Amino acid sequence: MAEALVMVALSPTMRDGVIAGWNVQEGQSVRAGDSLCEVETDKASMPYEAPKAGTILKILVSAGGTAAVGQAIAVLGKSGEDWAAVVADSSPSSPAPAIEPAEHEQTSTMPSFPALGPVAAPLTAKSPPLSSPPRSSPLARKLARAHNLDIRGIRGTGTDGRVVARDIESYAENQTQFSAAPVAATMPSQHTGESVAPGRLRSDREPLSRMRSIIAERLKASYNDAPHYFVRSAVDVERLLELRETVTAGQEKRLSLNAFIMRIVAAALERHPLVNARWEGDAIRYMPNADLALAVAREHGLVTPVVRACEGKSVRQIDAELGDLVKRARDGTLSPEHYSNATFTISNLGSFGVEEFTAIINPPASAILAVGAIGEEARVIRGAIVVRRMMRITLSSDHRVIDGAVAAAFMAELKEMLEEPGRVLV
Amino acid sequence: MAVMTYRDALNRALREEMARDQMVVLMGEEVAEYDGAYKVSRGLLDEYGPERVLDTPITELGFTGLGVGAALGGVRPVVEWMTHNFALLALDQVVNEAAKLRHMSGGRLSVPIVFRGPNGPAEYLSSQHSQALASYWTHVPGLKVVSPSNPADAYGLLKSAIRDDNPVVVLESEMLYGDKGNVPDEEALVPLGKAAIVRLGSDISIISFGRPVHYALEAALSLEKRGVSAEVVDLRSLRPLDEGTIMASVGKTGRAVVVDESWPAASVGAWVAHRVSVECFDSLDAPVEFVSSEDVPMPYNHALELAVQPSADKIVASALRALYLEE
Amino acid sequence: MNTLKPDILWSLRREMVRIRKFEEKAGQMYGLRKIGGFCHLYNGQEAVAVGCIGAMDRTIDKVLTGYRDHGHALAAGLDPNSIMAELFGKITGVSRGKGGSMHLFDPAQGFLGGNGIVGAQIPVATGVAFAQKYKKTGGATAVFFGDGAIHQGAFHEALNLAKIWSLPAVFICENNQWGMGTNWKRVSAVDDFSLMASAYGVRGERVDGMDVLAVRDAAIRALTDARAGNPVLLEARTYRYKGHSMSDPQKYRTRDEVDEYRKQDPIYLLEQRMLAMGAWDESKAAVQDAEADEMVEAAVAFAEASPEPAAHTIYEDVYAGEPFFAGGLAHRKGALAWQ
Repeated sequence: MAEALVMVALSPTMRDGVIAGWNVQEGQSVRAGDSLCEVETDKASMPYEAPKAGTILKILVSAGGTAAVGQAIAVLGKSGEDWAAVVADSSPSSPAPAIEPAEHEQTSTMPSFPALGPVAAPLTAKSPPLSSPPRSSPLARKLARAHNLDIRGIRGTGTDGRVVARDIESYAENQTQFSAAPVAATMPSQHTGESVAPGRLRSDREPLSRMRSIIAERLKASYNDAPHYFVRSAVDVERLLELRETVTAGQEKRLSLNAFIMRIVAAALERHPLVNARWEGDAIRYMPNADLALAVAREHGLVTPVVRACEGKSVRQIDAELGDLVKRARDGTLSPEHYSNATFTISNLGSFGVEEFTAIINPPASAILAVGAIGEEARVIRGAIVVRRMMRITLSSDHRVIDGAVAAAFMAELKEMLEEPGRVLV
Repeated sequence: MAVMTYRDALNRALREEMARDQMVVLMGEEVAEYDGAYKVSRGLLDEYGPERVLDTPITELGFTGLGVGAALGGVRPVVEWMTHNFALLALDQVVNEAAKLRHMSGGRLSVPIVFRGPNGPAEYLSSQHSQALASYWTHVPGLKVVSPSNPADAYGLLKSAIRDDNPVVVLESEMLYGDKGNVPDEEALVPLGKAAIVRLGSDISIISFGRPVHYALEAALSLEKRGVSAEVVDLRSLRPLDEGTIMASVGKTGRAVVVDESWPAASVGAWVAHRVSVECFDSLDAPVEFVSSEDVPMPYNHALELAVQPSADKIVASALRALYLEE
Repeated sequence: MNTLKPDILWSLRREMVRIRKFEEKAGQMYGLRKIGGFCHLYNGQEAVAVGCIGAMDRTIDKVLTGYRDHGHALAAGLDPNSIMAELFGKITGVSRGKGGSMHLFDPAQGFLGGNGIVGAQIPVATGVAFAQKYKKTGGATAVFFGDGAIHQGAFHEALNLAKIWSLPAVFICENNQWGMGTNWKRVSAVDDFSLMASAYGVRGERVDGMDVLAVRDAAIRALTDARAGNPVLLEARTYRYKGHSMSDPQKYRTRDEVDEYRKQDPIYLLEQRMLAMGAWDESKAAVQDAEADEMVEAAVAFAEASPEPAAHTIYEDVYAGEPFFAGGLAHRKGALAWQ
């Protein structure tokens, strides 16, 4: 007996999923557990496995399409069975979020006065008008206050769309995951090595991926809530690069420059703890470890894996962890503990040749360091013009937490340490 | 630890307290020569004699009032009601006399008395003999009310009740009399006014008392299979109510199901639900769920009488609703 | 009866006069709104309380009554100042302003109330007698109730219990002939309440409740029986001059009827008896009257001068030991807001 394969909820908060791509074709026979397709959820890309053996009779939602949880995406059965009857049977079980906009439209055309006509439809509409705050549980409201979130922007999954605790928790998690901010990083193609045919502009309209919409919401909120300002420094990295050469001489793989920068940033944060603090509305919370995030670009957005407690780790340890995290980020296998709750973020666009740039803070941290490309420059040292390798860094700070002098002192210390890494030791 | 029935745990409490204090007497219908309608007083007549273990006529108002007067006179009576259904005849003596005399006398009188007997639904007994009347007593200031759900609590709470200088109503359960459980070998009093966490959990608090605590535990097991960690709070005392334990639990889990085998309106469960709604307002992720008996008198037919009462399934359904995991 | 010593006669007169004057003053204070709520006066019935309680051993015996309790309280030796203060609702009242007219108590005097539910005190008193027997105190308990209460199940259940357990209890029905506005004969199957005792194998006796000496005699006999484990029922046929309570317009009876009974006034009857016995002394009576007046005036002055109870006292006297209240402190703060 053929059966419809329906979109399943792959995370507690998932309402629908995008079919990233099919791994099977119609007519293909599959075994139980085979990955049929990749489903992009609000969290990650997940394989959809065949619940039992059979033949894919029909693919109902093609790659790139979106299916609500419970909606049929394919039909599995024995070769030759009639897939259409199965779909007809399963269609009533499809959830009906699609009709909500229609209800809203209807609401707007209803008579204003009850006496003039029926008002039942607007009263029974499931979603409240966008202007009014959504129903929410007291706990959800308390959590939203704690996370400094506007509950109006959060979709509820409780009874009648009530925003409940899990909605806030998952929203906050996603915020942490997708908030690292370099605007330029959203141009991914060169960095990820994929080619875009030159000279071909596009004229289509691409619906937002879940990740894209979360990044958009998060960065907007951060940029609106945290008063940003920027402090720049040009750093002479000759000694740092020499050190890196020295310690990795003869080894197969060099330690990444980012690992060195993170270790040195951690040392600077230890000396300027306010830069490692977060805004909590009625207090500033100092964070006990330097949990440093590094922005990593992906095709449809970026993630910010975190190396915990960098102040207590060697460059080699940091480098090893970073290597693993970046791989996971690119594979889409990061879990929340890998990317949430950084205390400080580093975004390095040096590989793009960008000289310097500014970044948007990745909450709940209060600062982000934008690192530019290293290039040779003419410098005057003790009256002589010399060629030195220089790197420009820009600190974005949340003025609610970090005043200008604090940011300046931190940057001065960081510059000195990057120029003379030995200072980390003393 | 000794394993004993709820009935024998009560018997042991009575026996020990009568041995400890000469002023403790037991009176009620069939408590002496018949050994108690439910055998709770088995052997006590032989041990303590007819002056201290007294068969009364079937006059609940009369012997309840007599107990109140005896307490005024310095005796510490334990009045057994064959069931709480019949205690309705004695309501005046409990509500207007026992509960009020200390207050009306400006603190000059003391009524150290225990009223006890089975409360709550039994089986195949129809409407007059199968009802949960906890709210009748719990409503009244001046009384204390306890509702043990297991032998150890039955033993420890009855002993505390007998030693208390206030009138204490003990709600036993006919359906629990035969239940066995561990009771400490040494003397172990359970304080009045202290709830017990009988199962730890993190996702939802199930709050109940008396016999439905067992349904709550059953529901918690079933929820566990669905990945839900349920905490079960056994109130034990309904008056005083241990709000600290209740609120700490719900404050932790953010969700509550209150279970009371009484009718829903003006019940103990409704009051607990109200208090949780107020005290835990900012911690609640869902409205407080309430599982009670249906708002009908008890039918005789067994399937119907079971349908009327709270059950593990009903508690699970309410818990899932509070967790937004409704199927 | 004729063997009574004059000092006992004078003592009985003194008690009755004190009650009469106290009740008249209470009625007056009620009219001035110093006393509120229900206020049931005892005028006319003084011989019953005084005759019975005067015959008791106040060191071991106990007294309980219904809501018409001022007379019994005074006869039992309660402080008149504290009684009046209680009627005024003051903190110095016998019940700290929580009981009022119907709920006077003083266990130190063996007086256990003062009960507002018709007949409810009867089983309670039977229990007090149980305690006396259980503890072998040698005491007996007298419980007073009206011609209305005797039809309550509580009376019949209690009388049966007293008999089967041989309790030292004396049940005294004060038949003042009006159960609120209902004449007793309209609602009673028998026209002699003492007959009801026979249903329970208890001795019943009817006595003239206007004759304090007759009441006293009957009470002595009854108490003797009771102490021997034989409870007794007394019916004291009496009459109340005032309405059921202060708010009773008394449309159910004529002025003439009340006036007819005033001719059998218990104080007047006793004085006539004393005169006949040659024990009367006009000036001694005048002194007693003046002392009673002084007592009443002092009681009013005391009650007037006494402070109101503080708001926090509403949370006192509810429980022995650590008090607790449903809803906790939030509710308490709300209740105390008025002060």
